[in-house]
Amino acid sequence: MQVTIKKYDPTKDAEPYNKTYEVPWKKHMTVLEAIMYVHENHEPVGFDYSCRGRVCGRCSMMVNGEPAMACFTHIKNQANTLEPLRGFPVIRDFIVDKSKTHDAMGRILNRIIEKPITDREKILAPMDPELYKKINGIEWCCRCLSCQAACPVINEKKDQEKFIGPAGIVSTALRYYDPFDEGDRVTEAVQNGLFECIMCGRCNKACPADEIDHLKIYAELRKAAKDRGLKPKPRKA
Amino acid sequence: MDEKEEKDKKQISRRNLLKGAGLVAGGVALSTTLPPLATEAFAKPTSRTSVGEPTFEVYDTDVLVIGSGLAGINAALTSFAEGANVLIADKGPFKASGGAGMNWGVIVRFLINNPQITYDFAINASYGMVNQKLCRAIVNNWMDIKMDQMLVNRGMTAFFRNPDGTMYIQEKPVGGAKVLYNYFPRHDQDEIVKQGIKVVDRTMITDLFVQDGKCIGAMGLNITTGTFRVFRAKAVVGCGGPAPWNYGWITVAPVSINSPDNTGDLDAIAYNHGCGLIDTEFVENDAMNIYPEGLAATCNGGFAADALEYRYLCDKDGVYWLRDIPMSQMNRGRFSQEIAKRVLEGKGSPNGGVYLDLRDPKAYESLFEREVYSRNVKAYKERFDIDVKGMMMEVALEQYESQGHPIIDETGATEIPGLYFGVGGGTRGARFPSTSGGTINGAIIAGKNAVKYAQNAPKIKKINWKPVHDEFNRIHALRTKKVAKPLAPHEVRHAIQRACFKALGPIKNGKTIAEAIKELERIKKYDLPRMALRNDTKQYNVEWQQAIENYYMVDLSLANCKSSLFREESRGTHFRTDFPKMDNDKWLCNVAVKKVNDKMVVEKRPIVWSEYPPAKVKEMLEKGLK
Repeated sequence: MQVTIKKYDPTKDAEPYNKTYEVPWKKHMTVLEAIMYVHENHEPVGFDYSCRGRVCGRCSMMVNGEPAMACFTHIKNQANTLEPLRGFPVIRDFIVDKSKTHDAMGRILNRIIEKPITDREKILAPMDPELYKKINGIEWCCRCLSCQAACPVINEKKDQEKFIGPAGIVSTALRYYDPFDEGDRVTEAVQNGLFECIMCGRCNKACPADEIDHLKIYAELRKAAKDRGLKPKPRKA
Repeated sequence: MDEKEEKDKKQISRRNLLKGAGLVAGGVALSTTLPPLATEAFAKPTSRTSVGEPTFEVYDTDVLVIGSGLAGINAALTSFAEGANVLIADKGPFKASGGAGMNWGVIVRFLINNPQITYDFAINASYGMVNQKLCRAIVNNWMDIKMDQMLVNRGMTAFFRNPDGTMYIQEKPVGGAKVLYNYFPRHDQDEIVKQGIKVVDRTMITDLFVQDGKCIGAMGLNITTGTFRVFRAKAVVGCGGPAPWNYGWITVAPVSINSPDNTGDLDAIAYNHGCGLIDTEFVENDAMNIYPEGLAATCNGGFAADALEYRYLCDKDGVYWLRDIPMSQMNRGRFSQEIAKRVLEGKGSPNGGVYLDLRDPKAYESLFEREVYSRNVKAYKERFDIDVKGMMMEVALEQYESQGHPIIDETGATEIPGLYFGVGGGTRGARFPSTSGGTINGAIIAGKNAVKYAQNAPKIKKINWKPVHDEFNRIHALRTKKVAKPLAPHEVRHAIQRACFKALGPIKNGKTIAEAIKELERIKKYDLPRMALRNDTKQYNVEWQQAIENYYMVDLSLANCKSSLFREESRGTHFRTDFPKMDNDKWLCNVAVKKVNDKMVVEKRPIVWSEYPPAKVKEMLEKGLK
C-alpha cells in the first residue's frame, strides 16, 4: 500500500511537500498504525496521539481529503494521502496549532452563573432523559476539531460574516442545555454566526463522537433565536 | 574555592551586568528574561560546536505544578485558591494530555458515608502498604469537599443517569462510599484558565532545579520549537501520573490503556536527586481487547472485562471458569490473577489472553454504566466491520496504573524540601481501589501544603545556573549526537518495553525478573549511549522527546524490576510464583528504591502507621483473607 504524507518543517522547508512511502497493509489496520510504520521504518514523522480511541482528539488529520481520527480510522488497501488537519497553522508535519479554537471553546464552555451551586438536591436531581441525552452527547466532544476542518463555510466561503464554526456552536449548546447556566446562550450563538451555517451536515459526518447530533443542535438553537426575533435579516446580494 | 567555582562566580557577576539586556516577552505569566551567555566554564566542547551557547527562557512563580491531570488540576486550583501565583507546566497539549486528557467519563467516589469504613477499607485493599497518616488526611479531606458539588461548580454538567433520568449512583458498602460515573475533567481544565492560572504546555520537564538540597524549580524542553525553559518556583508539586508505558508494545502502544505522555519522567528525576521511591513493585491490571492491534488495550477505543464482567469470560476451551465465584468474593486483583493463572495453565488465547463473550446479552448489559466501552459497539461495526456482539473477543491483561512514586508524608512533601507530589509513594500501596478520589484529594493536600511552604520558603541569595547549563547541554547533545551503528530512540524504547513485559505481568517470578534486570542494565550501558536521532530538527521532534524519556524509562523500569525481585512474597497486585504466599512476618513493610553513590539500592522501610500498628494490620489482613 502506498501512503503519501504531506511533510513540512518550517525551520527547514520553504513549502510543504508530499512524500510517498510503501507500507504493508493488514486487515483492520488504522491510519495511526500506518504512520507509526513510516516513522519507525522509513523516516521520522512529526505526529501526535495519546488515547487510541477517539477521545483525546490529538491525532485528527486529513485522510484522503476528509478529516478523521488517525487512531480510530481504518486505512484502506489503496493509495492513501495523509495531510495535516485543514485550516490550522502547521507546526510540523501532522502537528497543528489548535490553540486559538481551543481557547475560544474554553471561554464559551465556562459556565455563566451568579453564585456557586450549593443545593446538593438540585445537583443530584432527576433530569428529563431527552435533555440528558443531548448534554451527555456533547460531553463526548473530544475537541479534535475535525468538524472545523470539515466545515465548508469557515474554510471555503469567501464572503461569510464571522462564523465561529461547528465546535464553537456545539460548545454554546452545552451551556444552552445546562440547567445551571444563566447566560444568554442564544444571543451568543447568533453573534457567533449561527445563521451563517448552511446546515450541510459535514461536521456531523466528520465528528468521531456519534453521540452528538449537530444538525438537531443547530435547529434547536435557531428555533430559540427565531422565537426571540434574533434571526439576522438576509444580507443584500 | 577551586578554579571552577571561581569561574562560576565570575559568571554570576557577568550575569548581573547583562541583566538589562534581557528580553521581556509580553504575555508570559510573570517574568521572562533571556539569561546570560555561557562562558567556557559551562559549555562543553561537543555542544559548543554543535548547538552554540545555552539560551533559555525563565519563568518565575510561587507554585509550579507539573502535569495537568486529576492531580495537577486539583493541586493547581487549590494552590491558587490559597492565594499563590500558580503556573502549570504540561507535557502534552493542555486539556488533552495524559490520562485525564482522554475525554472518557471518569468514575468518581463522590460521597464517603463513613470515614472509618473507608479508612479501614483502604488499609485492607492496599494490603497494609498505604501510609496510614496520609490515608487519614485523604479520607478527611474527601469528607470535607463534597466532591459532586465541587465538580459541578467547576463546570460539570451531568453525571451518568438511568434511562428515566435519575442519577446513576452506585453504592459501595464495603468501601463506605457512593460512586458516580462520567465525570469529564476538561471542565476543570477550562476552569483553570478562567481563574487565571498560567499554563505552559507541550513542555516536558527534564530536570528539577535543586540548590543547596532544596527544590527551587524545574527545567525542560519546549517540544514545539525546541527552546529550553526554566521555571523558578518557591514550591513545586509533581503531578506526573503513573508510568505503564514500559509494559510491552503492540504496533502503536504498550499493553496499557495509558498515555504516551506518562513515561515516569518525574519519578525518575526525583530518584536521581536522591528521593526514595516506594511501591514500584505494584501495578494494576485489567483485561482489555487485544485485537484489532491498532485499538489494542485501550480503555476508550475498545472493550474490557473487569471484575464486573468476570462471569462472561471463558478460556480457549470455551469454559466459563470463573462463574462459580460469588460476586462478593471478586475484586480486580483476584480477577487479574485468575486470568493470568489460566493463561499459565495453557488455557489462554493465542495472544496470551482469554475471551470475553459479548454474544451473551447479559454481558452486554453489564457494560451499561460503562459507556466508554458500549459506545464502541456501533463504531467497531461501522468503521472496522467487526461485530463484537456476534463474537468471542480476545482480551488480555493490560497495565493501566503503576504505584511507584517518591515517598511522601501526610502533607504531600517528598524528601526534598520544596518538592511535593500530588500522588506519592504510599498513597495506594498494593491496591487502593479509588484512584480518582485518592488522586484528587491527595493533590488538594499537596497543593495546600506547597503554598504553606512557599510562604515561608527560605530566601535564595544567589542562583547557581550551572545545573541549567549542564541540562541544556545534555538535552542538545542527545539531539545532535552522531555515533557509529546508531540506534533510533524507538528501537531502544521497544527493547525496554520487551524486557518489562516479560517480567512485570500480574504473575511474576524471580527468574524472569532477574533476566529483565540484566537486559535493562545492558540497555542502560550499551544501548542508551548508541541512541541517535535520524533528524536533528528542533521543531516538534518526536524522536528527541523519546530519546530524553528513554533515560527515565530505564531507571524507573529498573526500580520496578528490582523492587519486584526484592519482595520475596506475594501481596495484592504483586504475585510471585516462587513465593506465592503473603508473608506478613517478613514483608509487612514498604520497599524503597534509592540512589546511593550512583547505585540503585533496594531496602525495606517500615510502614507508616498511626491508628493501626503493624501487628494490628497483620491481624486485619489475615482475618480478611479467611
